[in-house]
Amino acid sequence: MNDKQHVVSDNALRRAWVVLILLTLSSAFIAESVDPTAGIVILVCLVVAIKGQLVVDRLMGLRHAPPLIRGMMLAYFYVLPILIALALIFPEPLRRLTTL
Amino acid sequence: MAAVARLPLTMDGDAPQPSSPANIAVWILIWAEVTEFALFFLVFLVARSHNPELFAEGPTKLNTWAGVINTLLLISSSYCVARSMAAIRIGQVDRCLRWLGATIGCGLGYCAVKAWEYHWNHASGLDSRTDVFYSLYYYLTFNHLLHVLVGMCAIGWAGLRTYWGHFTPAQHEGLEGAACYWHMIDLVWIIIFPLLYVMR
Repeated sequence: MNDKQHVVSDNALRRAWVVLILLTLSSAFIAESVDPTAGIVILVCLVVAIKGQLVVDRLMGLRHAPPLIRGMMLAYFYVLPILIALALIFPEPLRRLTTL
Repeated sequence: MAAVARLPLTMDGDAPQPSSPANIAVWILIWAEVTEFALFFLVFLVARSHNPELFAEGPTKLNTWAGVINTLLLISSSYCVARSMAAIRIGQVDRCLRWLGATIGCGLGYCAVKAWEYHWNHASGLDSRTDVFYSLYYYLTFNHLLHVLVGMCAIGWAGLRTYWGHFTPAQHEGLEGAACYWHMIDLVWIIIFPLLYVMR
């Protein structure tokens, strides 16, 4: 382990936590009150990506980790939300692609 | 109380040194786990494309607030484990243990809410054989629950080792590994929650 470690301050952790809570409650509001249009699907996937990045960079403290580790964790929250959005907005091509 | 050893720590603004929390074996495990869940998500999306009506109706019968509460609990547990890591890095063992206890408390809360949710589903006439949406719902959420239980064991073991004095500000790789595994559990749920409860 290196002698110097980059530390996320307690205030930064607390801010990240509050933002994650607010994003979660906004998703719940969307679930209960809004029809799932393409725009809403994209918005929800964007929220997923933001939440993932907050956990990875702030709570896991990977913001200054080796690029491979940070990159692979963040890639998960860039690639998957995009795939989810595409699958939900364009289900028919996916259905044709996966029909034997 | 023993003197607290402090590492030369940098805060935001200083030039940070790249450092990898946890060893490579833990990261391989984490990537294997998230890949496993990614495959589950892809199966879910394919099934959804073939059964649009079932997957549009399925989430409306779930208890959304159980999903919300569990999301809040897991996010809070990630916060707690991050605070425990911050504490051990500056040698505050008692504080570290309290935050690890809070992490396990959140995990127990998650398990309780999940048990209640499954009971609520059963009372509503929903189970894993109702239709393909609920089969996948139970497969995803029960699999995730198993990971939460494993994670709680890992955090508990790390807490015991912390209590026994095995971890110091200079050496706490085992605790970091358990913490990273716990964050992975939260990260996976961040995707499960909207997939099952929000997207209708």
